[in-house]
Amino acid sequence: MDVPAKQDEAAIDAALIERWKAGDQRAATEIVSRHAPALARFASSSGERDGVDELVQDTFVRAFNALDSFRSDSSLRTWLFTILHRLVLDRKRSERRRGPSVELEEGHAVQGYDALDALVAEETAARVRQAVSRLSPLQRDVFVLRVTEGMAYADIATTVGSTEGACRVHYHNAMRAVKEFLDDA
Amino acid sequence: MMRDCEDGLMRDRLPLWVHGALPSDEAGAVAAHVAGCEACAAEVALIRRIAGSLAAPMPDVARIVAALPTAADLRARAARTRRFRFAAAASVLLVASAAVVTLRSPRDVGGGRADAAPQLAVRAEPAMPSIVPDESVTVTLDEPGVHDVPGFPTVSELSDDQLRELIVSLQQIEALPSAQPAAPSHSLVHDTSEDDL
Repeated sequence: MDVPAKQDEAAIDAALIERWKAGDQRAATEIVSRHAPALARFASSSGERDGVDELVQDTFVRAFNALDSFRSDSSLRTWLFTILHRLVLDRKRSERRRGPSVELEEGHAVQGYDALDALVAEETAARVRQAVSRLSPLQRDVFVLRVTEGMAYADIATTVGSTEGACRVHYHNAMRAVKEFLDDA
Repeated sequence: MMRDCEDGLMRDRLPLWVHGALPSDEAGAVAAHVAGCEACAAEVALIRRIAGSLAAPMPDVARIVAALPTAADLRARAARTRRFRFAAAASVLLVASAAVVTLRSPRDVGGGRADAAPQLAVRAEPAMPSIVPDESVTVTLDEPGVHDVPGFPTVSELSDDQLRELIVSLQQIEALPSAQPAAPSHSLVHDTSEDDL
């Protein structure tokens, strides 16, 4: 679903990419500034407690190395999220090969987010993060992209490699699970 | 727990409405609904709370930008890749050409079906009539007379003694693939006129 605001965002990104291709490295700074916070949110809420900055940086490095092949079939932001999602999956796979699973367990979630808790300093925020951390990885990714970024299901499906219908189901199941967890708390 | 609103489509739009990602007409409809629906108003509040709770520290933009390639870097890399591909293609072509020249036997020059496979050079044996059918004649195995090479019975018609004799005579044949250089000291591109003799 394209809306004017979204088209404006895509036009701004396209203009920045053209400026960067023409040799204006300041355009790179603007692109990173526009999208880094959302990518960091997604990486952080995907259970990647450590190395969020590194993941975000790797995402941009990969994207810029392939920017010539970017054809605007999807928005730049969706493309960046797709790259980041793959990086997160790769990292989880390699972590699984190295040792036991690092998926957050109930009770670990609050400890895992201690650093962030210090910044937010809200018990309710910690409970919300704990509720989100209990979702399955795919549910969590879909839910976070919908709730924190307001992404359309089509873009979420592209990012996580699923279908719009499946993403809609994941979102509503996740919302119900989060509500139940928070109500029980 | 408060019951969810039964308007699933409306609930579906709430996150997009919160983030201003809906067209103005749809956004107006959602706003009007939320104003009159306690369940959706609560869900909107929850969406805002979740979005706020999942905030992450801003990454170091300067550090990220410092790690990025410039457009000039990419152009230079693309040029290097093109040169490498050209050189690789030229090398393959050169090696393939050398292989063709080396593997072609003198009889290949004249062409012929019998040259399609490596040939055996028969030495020190009495001349035998060729059993390779004339390529100008197309035959099938079902045609009468295929096995009737004049003066040569088929293998099934040979007696045991004749078969033994045939095996012994075959063992006496010194066979060399004519496509292979006779000595390792030969250069890759050797003088084919020698083989013509």
